[in-house]
Amino acid sequence: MERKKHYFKAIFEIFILVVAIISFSYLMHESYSLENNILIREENKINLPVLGLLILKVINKILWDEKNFVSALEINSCELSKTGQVCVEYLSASECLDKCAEQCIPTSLSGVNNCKLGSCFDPVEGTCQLNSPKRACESNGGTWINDVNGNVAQCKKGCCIHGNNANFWTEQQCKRMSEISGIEKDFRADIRTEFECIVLSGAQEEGACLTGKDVAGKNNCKFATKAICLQARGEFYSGYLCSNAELNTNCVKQKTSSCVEGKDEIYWFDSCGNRENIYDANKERSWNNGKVLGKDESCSLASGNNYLANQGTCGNCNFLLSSRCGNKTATERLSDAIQKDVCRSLTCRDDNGNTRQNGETWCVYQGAIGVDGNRAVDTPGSRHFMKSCMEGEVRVESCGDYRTKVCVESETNLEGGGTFSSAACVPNLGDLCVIYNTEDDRIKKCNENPFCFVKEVDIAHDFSFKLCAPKYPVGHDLATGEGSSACALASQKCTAVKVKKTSGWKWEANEDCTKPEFAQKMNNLCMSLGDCGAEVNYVGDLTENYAVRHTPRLGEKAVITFSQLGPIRFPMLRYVADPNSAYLNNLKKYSDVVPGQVAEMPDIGEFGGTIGIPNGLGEAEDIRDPKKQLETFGMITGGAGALLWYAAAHGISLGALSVTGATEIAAAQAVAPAGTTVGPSLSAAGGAIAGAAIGAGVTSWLISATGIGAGMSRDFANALITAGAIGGALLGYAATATTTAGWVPVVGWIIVIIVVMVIVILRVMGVGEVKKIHVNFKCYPWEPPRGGEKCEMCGDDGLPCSEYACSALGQTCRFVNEGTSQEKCINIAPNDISPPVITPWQEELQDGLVYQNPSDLGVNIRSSSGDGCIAAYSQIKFGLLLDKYGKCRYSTTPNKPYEEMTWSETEDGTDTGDDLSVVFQKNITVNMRMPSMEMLGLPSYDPNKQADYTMYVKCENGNGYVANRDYAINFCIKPGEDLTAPAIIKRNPAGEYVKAGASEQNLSIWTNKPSNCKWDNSNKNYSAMLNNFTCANGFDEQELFGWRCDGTIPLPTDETTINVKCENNPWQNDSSKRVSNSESTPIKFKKTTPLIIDSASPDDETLVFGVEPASVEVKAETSGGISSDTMCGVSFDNGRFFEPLEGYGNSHSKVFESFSSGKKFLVIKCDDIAGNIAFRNISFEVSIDRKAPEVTRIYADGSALTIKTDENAECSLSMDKCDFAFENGTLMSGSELAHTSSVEMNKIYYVMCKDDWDNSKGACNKKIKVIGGITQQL
Amino acid sequence: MIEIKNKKGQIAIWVILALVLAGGIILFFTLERGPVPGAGAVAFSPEQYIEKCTGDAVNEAVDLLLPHGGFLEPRNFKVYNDTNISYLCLHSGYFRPCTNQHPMLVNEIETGIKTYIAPRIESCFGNLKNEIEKRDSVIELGATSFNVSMAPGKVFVNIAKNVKITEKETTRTFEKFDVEVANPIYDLTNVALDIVNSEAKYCTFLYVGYMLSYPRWDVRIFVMSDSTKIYTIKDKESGKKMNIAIRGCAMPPGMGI
Repeated sequence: MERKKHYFKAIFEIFILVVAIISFSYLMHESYSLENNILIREENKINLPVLGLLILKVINKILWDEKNFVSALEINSCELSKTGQVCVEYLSASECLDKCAEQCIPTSLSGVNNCKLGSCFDPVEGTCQLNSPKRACESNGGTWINDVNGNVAQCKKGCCIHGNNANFWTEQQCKRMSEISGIEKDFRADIRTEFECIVLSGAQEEGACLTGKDVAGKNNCKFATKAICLQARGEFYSGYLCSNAELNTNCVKQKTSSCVEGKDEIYWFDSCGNRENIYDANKERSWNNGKVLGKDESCSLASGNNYLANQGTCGNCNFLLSSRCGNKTATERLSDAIQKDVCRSLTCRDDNGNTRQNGETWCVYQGAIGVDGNRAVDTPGSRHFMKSCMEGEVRVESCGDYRTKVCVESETNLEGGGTFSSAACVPNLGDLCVIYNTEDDRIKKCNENPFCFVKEVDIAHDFSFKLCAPKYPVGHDLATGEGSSACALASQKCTAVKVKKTSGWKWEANEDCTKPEFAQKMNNLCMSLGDCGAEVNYVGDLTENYAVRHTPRLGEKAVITFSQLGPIRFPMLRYVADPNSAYLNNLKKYSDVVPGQVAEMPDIGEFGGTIGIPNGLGEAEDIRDPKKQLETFGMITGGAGALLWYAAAHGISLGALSVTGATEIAAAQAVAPAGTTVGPSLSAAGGAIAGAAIGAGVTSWLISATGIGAGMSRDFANALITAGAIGGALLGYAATATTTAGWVPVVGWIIVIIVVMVIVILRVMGVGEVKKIHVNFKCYPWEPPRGGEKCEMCGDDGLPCSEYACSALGQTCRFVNEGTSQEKCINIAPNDISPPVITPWQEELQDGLVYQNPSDLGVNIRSSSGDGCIAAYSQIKFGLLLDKYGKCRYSTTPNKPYEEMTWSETEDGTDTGDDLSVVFQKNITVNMRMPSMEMLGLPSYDPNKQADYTMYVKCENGNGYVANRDYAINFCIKPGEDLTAPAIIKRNPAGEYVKAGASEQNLSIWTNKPSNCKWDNSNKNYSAMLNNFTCANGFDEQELFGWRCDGTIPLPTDETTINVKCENNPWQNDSSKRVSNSESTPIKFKKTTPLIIDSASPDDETLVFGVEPASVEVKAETSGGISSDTMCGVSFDNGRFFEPLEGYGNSHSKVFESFSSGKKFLVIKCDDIAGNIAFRNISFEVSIDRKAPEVTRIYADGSALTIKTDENAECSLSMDKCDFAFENGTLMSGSELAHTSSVEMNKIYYVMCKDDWDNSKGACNKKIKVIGGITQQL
Repeated sequence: MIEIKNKKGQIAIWVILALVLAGGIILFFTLERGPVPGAGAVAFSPEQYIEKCTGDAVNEAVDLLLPHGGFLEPRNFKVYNDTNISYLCLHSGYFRPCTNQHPMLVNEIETGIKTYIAPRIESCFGNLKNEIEKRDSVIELGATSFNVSMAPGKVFVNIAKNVKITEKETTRTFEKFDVEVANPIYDLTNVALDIVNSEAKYCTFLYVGYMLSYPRWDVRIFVMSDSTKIYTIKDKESGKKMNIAIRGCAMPPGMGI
């Protein structure tokens, strides 16, 4: 009974332990599964190198303005080019020598003193020209000022009143005007906006000016401003009309009415020809008892939102409200038929028949714009336009080719009803959207930028990601393809996984990538990045330039066909072209203008800033590979089993194992012999536990080793493992128990045998086999339709044609005679049916290669050394010249129809083909890597088959005519296996410095051929190296720089060196056919010291300026990090966007010229290429001194007059008048607080002072007289 | 038959007829040649003659300068409507605002006018000399120096030249000729400079707002394929037009790669 009790107890313990082991293992698996699936995840990662290259080029573009990577060392500057351009930067010394009229200076323009940009002040005219090179200014007599925005006293503008006019000018301009016109200078420095000044121009004091008497004794009268009257030495009666009876003139009121030059309104004129008040049919009201009647007090032309409601009776026209005085017409006239003028309407009608007010601007597009659903839809060739209504005429302005500028519009509701549109062409900041994708907070930034949208690509559970894409994709040069590289970002690969289950092949991951939606969703991404993929142009012609593999094309639908195999007919799923494809039909609608659609006015000021630091992209999730999961499961279970075997053999309790260390294990061993009734049963139970663990472990291992796990459900696998565990437990119990029933080992063995048989059967059936299908989408630049039938449609929509718009209409459309009166979009090859003729392009052939036997039929490309064969895997470059624009494809199979030559690689890789040129061009450069015979699926031991590789090329012309025979480009590839070890051709990070305090560093290396790579701290043989890189080494996983391997390197010390070796032919099971590096590549990592911003200025101070906006130099001094590669930026919006400071190294500064007054809070951020980042906040106050200096004290010592001011100033004395011109007075000595001058006794002096910013009262500060050494203020 | 007894009377009639005929012939040829400006038979004014002649030369120069952006023969230009238009502000790369190429444009235009009218002024004085000498007067001409300056609505040409005219016993001397030509080139140039400043600072010029603020000016813009903007500024009062070319803040096609 006691034994039986122990027996059940043992069985129960076994059960508990087995369950516990499985549960524990499962939990462990779950915690490790992500890490173990990194390899799989990489297969569905976004194409980072392509994006990285794009970003580098964008950065380069912004830094250097040009399209090529240029070292700063190559830049040459020229003060004057041969074409007369001042201060030009050239990207190479040779270009500079060719184009510069003077000596080339080997530095950038910022280093050339004569080319420094600032403001150019004309000391005579008083104009201030911004962004002017020093040389261009000084060589023509200007005064150059080191401030590009003219934030200096000389350039400060105010309102200059002269006669009836008011201009927003500098004081010198005003002075010059005064000198020329003879009218006394009236400069109002206190008026700081142009608008205020313009308002003043109509508000001059006017009145009657009496200039003597006529023979009859009546006064001669002219209606004029006070200034003009005084200049004419007349007697001025402010606010009086000449017809006023009080003035005793012979002028009779309201004799005629007429328009006045420079004024909007209709005016009455008296019999002397003097202007009177604004015309009103009510004459008495208009005459106003002979006094001037202001515009606001005159009759009202408008009523409600009808601005011409009183057109028949009122002459109070208003240019800003769409009316101005003009000759009457049949429909527009005053009620009084005698009058010949009227307030003419200046409104316009837009294309939709809507009335537009004078000065109203609005946007016009050539199709749908922006984002529709989840794709950007601006069509190739389309542009944005801004139209405006000006004096009854509708004008149109193109926002530029390629949609580099976007027309944005906003509407204002008018008080009387109706709306007023304001539009503008603003820079398209779509480039930034792509850059955001490299930043951690890309989605946030994307949502904040009104030119971006978050493009979601959600195709399959394991192939979904989000990208930031431009709302209004920028187009590219359709004739040359320039600027089309963004399309490549949408070239992506989805790995779909099929697994053979017991019930047959089942999709395990990304099945949807093989369905039509894949191409559709990828094309949505493709077209959102620019003029890419399948799109319609702005006249509705659809073309498709993309390629897919292992998935249906756009516009294909599934049909069931039957295939006959002997007597049996098999149904098969095929995809055929669907002429009614909803997807393609939806694309076509984008050439239609969407009524009312406009791009909203953004706040683009925020988006001037930064470029991110690449650190990853994409949210493609792991795909789940059950085989991997089970490998993990087996490993964990097996490990636990070994531990339990040790425990069982030593009679150690599970509790001791699970919660104690070695000390407690020893203690347990010591306790066990003390003997309790539990001891024997535990010993048997331990055997059962160990047996169960071993059974489970072995079963897991078998499942993993045979590969059947991938084809099993989790439940089935668990059942099998559990069965193995039970079998093992029974056998373990039987082996360790002192007594046992005879059936126990028998049952145990039976269970074990059944488990093994099941595994064998499943393996024979092929269960667990995994098939990976690499579904690809290649996004190519959009191509215009073949031919040129529609060239002449350019401009038919009433919008001006352009090069971009023309080239979108057809392959043979060309915009000619631009800049002349004969601009046209013409078809340059209307009858061309001959395909392009191909010839080898000698200049593009790589050194070490030669063209042999060129003929109309083809050419051989050989190595110039040895037997002429080119080594497998080697990267080569050659070129083809076409005698006209064409597009070419190739195949490795001869005589293939052109249509079938696009990317026709078969599953076994025996038939490769692709586009040689993705756009129409005349010069084709081909960069390719020589294939190995193994990659092409040919046996590597056959030297004849290995030797020959031919590309069969066909080209089409712009009208779609294709050569009917191939142009064969033949290569001889070096026979034999690839016996050359891989070479590491690139690494990232490229430098050795890493961030201060880093504990590990991610490292990527690229090899020139598919490889596996390892690293170790010491230099060992490849096989002995302990640490593996994760390598993408499939033939089709080649990236821009080769095949990539990733690893994470621990950095235990300040300086760590690892040794890297790689081995080729990763697909070879036979290790003797793999070649590894004999020499390792050492890669060193050095931790840097922390980057510190030692000082930053201005900080905690008040800066005083005389003009607003003010120019402030922001400076930062850094230490630590990598000083030679430290860059700093400053943020004005609390760290959201950083404007870069100038200078690499430890000193960084930049002058910002648009500071308004008030407290400023800035954030300075510095970083280096090692990833060190430092921040520092600074704050300062900008104060604008607009106050004129005050005279605080005046005293005299004899004839020496001393004046004290409350701030640094200059003072001038005059005996003329209070509002004398400062420069005409006698300058007192002293430019600070004290000013002295000798004066004459008993004379009246006027004192005028102005500070460093030219602030003065505009008149004298004091009127004084010195009497007997005592100063008297008058 | 009537016998004419008074032969003296007959002779007088014939003399009168001959004089009338001769006067008619002289008058015919005088009218045929057209009147010489300022050279009226009553009072010939050398000042008016030079003023008219110089004014024509200035207007001619301005008509040549304005369409080309202020230069007679632009070196750095863009062709638009078959006309070479000078770049007043240019950055030939991408993104950056344009750099002012002619910040002292008024000065350069004055120099351009001076260059153009210099030989014409000499020609004016040459023609004046011929005209004076035809009148049996003697004219002595000194060396010529002159200056051109511009102002709102005007172009001034201040010529310093000693001219001595001896007519019978009367001698007139002139030391300078101050010519004032009504022309809006200064005002047009200032609008052009406003446009350049706005483009150099903001990458754009709000021409619609400008026209609303200053209705005297009609500003039109044409954007070319290479992002060059052609501005045509028209003075509505005189009908004169000025073209200028500007390129800055250009954006490349696509991502510029």
